[in-house]
Amino acid sequence: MNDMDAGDRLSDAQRMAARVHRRSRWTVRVYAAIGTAGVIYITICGFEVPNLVFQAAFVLWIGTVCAATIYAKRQPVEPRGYRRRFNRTVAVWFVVWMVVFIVGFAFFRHQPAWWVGGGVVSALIMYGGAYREIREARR
Amino acid sequence: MTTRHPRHGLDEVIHSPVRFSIMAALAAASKAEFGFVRDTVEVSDSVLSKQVATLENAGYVSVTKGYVGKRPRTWLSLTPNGLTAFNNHVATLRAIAEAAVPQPEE
Repeated sequence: MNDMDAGDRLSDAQRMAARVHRRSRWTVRVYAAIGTAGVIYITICGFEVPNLVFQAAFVLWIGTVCAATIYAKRQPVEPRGYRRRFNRTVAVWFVVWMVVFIVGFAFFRHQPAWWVGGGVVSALIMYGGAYREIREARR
Repeated sequence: MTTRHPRHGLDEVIHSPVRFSIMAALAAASKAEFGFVRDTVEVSDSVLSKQVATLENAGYVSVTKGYVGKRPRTWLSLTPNGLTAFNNHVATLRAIAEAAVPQPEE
Protein backbone atom coordinates (compact mmCIF):
# COMPACT_ATOMS: atom_id res chain seq x y z
CA MET A 1 0.00 0.00 0.00
CA ASN A 2 1.34 3.45 -0.86
CA ASP A 3 0.65 6.79 0.76
CA MET A 4 -2.04 7.67 -1.81
CA ASP A 5 -3.98 4.50 -0.96
CA ALA A 6 -3.67 5.24 2.76
CA GLY A 7 -4.91 8.78 2.24
CA ASP A 8 -7.83 7.53 0.15
CA ARG A 9 -8.77 5.00 2.80
CA LEU A 10 -8.71 7.62 5.52
CA SER A 11 -10.91 9.90 3.39
CA ASP A 12 -13.28 7.00 2.83
CA ALA A 13 -13.50 6.39 6.57
CA GLN A 14 -14.37 10.05 7.14
CA ARG A 15 -17.00 9.91 4.40
CA MET A 16 -18.62 6.83 5.96
CA ALA A 17 -18.63 8.45 9.41
CA ALA A 18 -20.15 11.64 7.96
CA ARG A 19 -22.99 9.63 6.40
CA VAL A 20 -23.67 7.92 9.71
CA HIS A 21 -23.69 11.25 11.53
CA ARG A 22 -26.01 12.79 8.96
CA ARG A 23 -28.49 9.94 9.48
CA SER A 24 -28.14 10.32 13.26
CA ARG A 25 -29.71 13.76 13.46
CA TRP A 26 -32.88 12.18 14.77
CA THR A 27 -31.26 12.15 18.22
CA VAL A 28 -31.39 15.95 18.31
CA ARG A 29 -35.10 15.89 17.44
CA VAL A 30 -35.81 13.42 20.25
CA TYR A 31 -34.12 15.61 22.86
CA ALA A 32 -35.80 18.75 21.53
CA ALA A 33 -39.28 17.17 21.44
CA ILE A 34 -39.07 15.81 25.00
CA GLY A 35 -37.58 19.06 26.31
CA THR A 36 -40.24 21.22 24.66
CA ALA A 37 -43.21 19.07 25.66
CA GLY A 38 -41.83 18.93 29.21
CA VAL A 39 -41.51 22.70 29.59
CA ILE A 40 -45.11 23.17 28.35
CA TYR A 41 -46.44 20.62 30.81
CA ILE A 42 -44.49 21.92 33.82
CA THR A 43 -45.40 25.53 33.03
CA ILE A 44 -49.11 24.73 32.84
CA CYS A 45 -48.87 23.10 36.28
CA GLY A 46 -48.04 26.51 37.73
CA PHE A 47 -51.20 28.25 36.53
CA GLU A 48 -54.77 27.94 37.62
CA VAL A 49 -56.13 26.51 34.42
CA PRO A 50 -59.33 24.55 33.68
CA ASN A 51 -58.95 20.85 34.26
CA LEU A 52 -59.34 20.21 30.55
CA VAL A 53 -56.25 22.29 29.70
CA PHE A 54 -54.24 20.46 32.34
CA GLN A 55 -55.39 17.10 30.96
CA ALA A 56 -54.63 18.17 27.40
CA ALA A 57 -51.10 19.19 28.43
CA PHE A 58 -50.66 15.82 30.15
CA VAL A 59 -51.81 13.96 27.03
CA LEU A 60 -49.47 16.11 24.91
CA TRP A 61 -46.59 15.30 27.25
CA ILE A 62 -47.22 11.54 27.38
CA GLY A 63 -47.97 11.47 23.65
CA THR A 64 -44.72 13.25 22.84
CA VAL A 65 -42.65 10.86 24.97
CA CYS A 66 -44.35 7.82 23.40
CA ALA A 67 -43.98 9.24 19.87
CA ALA A 68 -40.30 10.07 20.48
CA THR A 69 -39.67 6.56 21.79
CA ILE A 70 -41.33 4.92 18.76
CA TYR A 71 -39.54 7.34 16.43
CA ALA A 72 -36.18 6.48 18.00
CA LYS A 73 -36.90 2.73 17.78
CA ARG A 74 -37.56 2.98 14.05
CA GLN A 75 -34.32 4.71 13.14
CA PRO A 76 -31.84 2.68 11.09
CA VAL A 77 -28.75 3.87 12.91
CA GLU A 78 -27.81 4.71 16.47
CA PRO A 79 -24.71 6.87 16.89
CA ARG A 80 -21.91 5.45 19.01
CA GLY A 81 -22.40 6.20 22.71
CA TYR A 82 -25.88 7.69 22.21
CA ARG A 83 -27.66 5.39 24.65
CA ARG A 84 -25.17 6.09 27.43
CA ARG A 85 -25.38 9.86 26.86
CA PHE A 86 -29.18 9.76 26.64
CA ASN A 87 -29.54 7.72 29.84
CA ARG A 88 -27.28 10.13 31.73
CA THR A 89 -29.18 13.15 30.46
CA VAL A 90 -32.54 11.60 31.32
CA ALA A 91 -31.29 10.68 34.81
CA VAL A 92 -30.31 14.31 35.52
CA TRP A 93 -33.48 15.59 33.90
CA PHE A 94 -35.62 13.18 35.97
CA VAL A 95 -34.06 14.39 39.23
CA VAL A 96 -34.80 18.03 38.28
CA TRP A 97 -38.31 17.03 37.23
CA MET A 98 -38.96 15.34 40.59
CA VAL A 99 -37.60 18.30 42.56
CA VAL A 100 -39.75 20.73 40.56
CA PHE A 101 -42.90 18.69 41.13
CA ILE A 102 -42.39 17.62 44.75
CA VAL A 103 -41.21 21.02 45.99
CA GLY A 104 -43.62 22.83 43.67
CA PHE A 105 -46.74 21.03 44.86
CA ALA A 106 -45.60 21.31 48.49
CA PHE A 107 -44.64 24.99 48.60
CA PHE A 108 -45.27 26.78 45.30
CA ARG A 109 -48.68 25.65 44.15
CA HIS A 110 -50.05 28.18 41.62
CA GLN A 111 -46.88 30.26 41.71
CA PRO A 112 -45.92 30.48 38.03
CA ALA A 113 -42.37 31.72 38.68
CA TRP A 114 -41.36 28.39 40.25
CA TRP A 115 -42.94 26.28 37.54
CA VAL A 116 -41.74 28.36 34.62
CA GLY A 117 -38.23 28.38 36.10
CA GLY A 118 -38.35 24.64 36.71
CA GLY A 119 -39.67 24.03 33.21
CA VAL A 120 -36.89 26.09 31.66
CA VAL A 121 -34.21 24.27 33.69
CA SER A 122 -35.58 20.86 32.71
CA ALA A 123 -35.80 21.94 29.07
CA LEU A 124 -32.24 23.28 29.15
CA ILE A 125 -31.00 19.87 30.28
CA MET A 126 -32.65 18.27 27.23
CA TYR A 127 -31.48 21.02 24.87
CA GLY A 128 -28.00 20.54 26.34
CA GLY A 129 -28.28 16.87 25.42
CA ALA A 130 -29.26 17.86 21.87
CA TYR A 131 -26.29 20.22 21.65
CA ARG A 132 -23.99 17.46 22.85
CA GLU A 133 -25.22 15.16 20.09
CA ILE A 134 -24.49 17.86 17.52
CA ARG A 135 -20.98 18.24 18.93
CA GLU A 136 -20.40 14.47 18.95
CA ALA A 137 -21.36 14.35 15.27
CA ARG A 138 -18.77 17.03 14.47
CA ARG A 139 -15.90 15.31 16.30
CA MET B 1 19.36 -1.61 11.51
CA THR B 2 16.06 -1.90 9.67
CA THR B 3 12.82 -0.18 10.65
CA ARG B 4 9.62 -2.15 10.29
CA HIS B 5 7.37 -0.47 7.71
CA PRO B 6 3.99 0.66 9.12
CA ARG B 7 2.17 -1.39 6.46
CA HIS B 8 2.97 -4.51 8.49
CA GLY B 9 0.49 -3.23 11.05
CA LEU B 10 -2.41 -3.37 8.59
CA ASP B 11 -5.14 -5.87 9.36
CA GLU B 12 -5.65 -8.22 6.41
CA VAL B 13 -9.34 -8.75 7.23
CA ILE B 14 -10.11 -5.01 7.27
CA HIS B 15 -7.80 -4.23 4.39
CA SER B 16 -10.36 -5.01 1.66
CA PRO B 17 -12.00 -1.74 0.52
CA VAL B 18 -15.58 -2.90 1.08
CA ARG B 19 -14.84 -4.39 4.48
CA PHE B 20 -12.95 -1.25 5.45
CA SER B 21 -15.96 0.90 4.50
CA ILE B 22 -18.29 -1.37 6.48
CA MET B 23 -16.02 -1.13 9.51
CA ALA B 24 -15.74 2.66 9.11
CA ALA B 25 -19.52 3.05 9.01
CA LEU B 26 -20.02 0.78 12.01
CA ALA B 27 -17.24 2.48 13.98
CA ALA B 28 -19.33 5.67 14.03
CA ALA B 29 -22.45 3.83 15.21
CA SER B 30 -23.45 1.73 18.19
CA LYS B 31 -25.55 -0.27 15.76
CA ALA B 32 -26.80 0.14 12.23
CA GLU B 33 -29.45 -1.57 10.17
CA PHE B 34 -28.32 -3.86 7.36
CA GLY B 35 -30.11 -1.75 4.73
CA PHE B 36 -28.56 1.47 5.98
CA VAL B 37 -25.04 -0.02 5.83
CA ARG B 38 -25.76 -1.40 2.35
CA ASP B 39 -26.82 2.06 1.10
CA THR B 40 -23.99 3.85 2.90
CA VAL B 41 -21.28 1.55 1.57
CA GLU B 42 -23.04 1.37 -1.82
CA VAL B 43 -22.99 -2.39 -2.33
CA SER B 44 -25.62 -5.02 -3.05
CA ASP B 45 -27.30 -7.16 -0.39
CA SER B 46 -25.32 -10.24 -1.42
CA VAL B 47 -21.95 -8.46 -1.32
CA LEU B 48 -22.70 -6.99 2.08
CA SER B 49 -23.87 -10.37 3.42
CA LYS B 50 -20.68 -12.04 2.24
CA GLN B 51 -18.37 -9.36 3.64
CA VAL B 52 -20.25 -9.18 6.93
CA ALA B 53 -19.93 -12.97 7.27
CA THR B 54 -16.16 -12.62 6.87
CA LEU B 55 -16.04 -9.88 9.50
CA GLU B 56 -18.30 -11.88 11.79
CA ASN B 57 -16.05 -14.94 11.49
CA ALA B 58 -13.09 -12.75 12.39
CA GLY B 59 -14.97 -11.64 15.51
CA TYR B 60 -15.14 -8.01 14.40
CA VAL B 61 -18.86 -7.64 13.72
CA SER B 62 -21.91 -8.97 15.49
CA VAL B 63 -25.21 -9.53 13.74
CA THR B 64 -28.50 -9.24 15.60
CA LYS B 65 -31.88 -10.05 14.13
CA GLY B 66 -35.09 -8.59 15.47
CA TYR B 67 -38.33 -6.88 14.62
CA VAL B 68 -39.51 -3.28 14.49
CA GLY B 69 -43.29 -3.69 14.55
CA LYS B 70 -43.90 -6.59 12.20
CA ARG B 71 -40.89 -5.89 10.00
CA PRO B 72 -37.83 -8.09 10.41
CA ARG B 73 -34.62 -6.13 10.81
CA THR B 74 -30.97 -7.09 10.90
CA TRP B 75 -28.66 -4.95 12.99
CA LEU B 76 -24.90 -4.82 12.59
CA SER B 77 -22.46 -3.57 15.18
CA LEU B 78 -18.75 -3.70 15.88
CA THR B 79 -17.56 -5.94 18.68
CA PRO B 80 -15.03 -4.44 21.14
CA ASN B 81 -12.33 -6.43 19.29
CA GLY B 82 -13.58 -5.06 15.99
CA LEU B 83 -13.45 -1.47 17.23
CA THR B 84 -9.91 -1.96 18.55
CA ALA B 85 -8.81 -3.58 15.29
CA PHE B 86 -10.35 -0.78 13.23
CA ASN B 87 -8.74 1.94 15.37
CA ASN B 88 -5.36 0.20 15.05
CA HIS B 89 -5.83 -0.13 11.30
CA VAL B 90 -6.66 3.58 10.97
CA ALA B 91 -3.64 4.49 13.11
CA THR B 92 -1.46 2.43 10.76
CA LEU B 93 -2.96 4.14 7.71
CA ARG B 94 -2.19 7.52 9.30
CA ALA B 95 1.39 6.42 9.95
CA ILE B 96 1.77 5.39 6.31
CA ALA B 97 0.26 8.65 5.05
CA GLU B 98 2.41 10.75 7.39
CA ALA B 99 5.56 8.83 6.56
CA ALA B 100 5.08 9.81 2.94
CA VAL B 101 4.84 13.55 3.67
CA PRO B 102 8.14 15.08 2.48
CA GLN B 103 10.20 16.65 5.26
CA PRO B 104 11.13 20.34 4.80
CA GLU B 105 14.73 20.83 3.63
CA GLU B 106 17.09 22.62 5.99
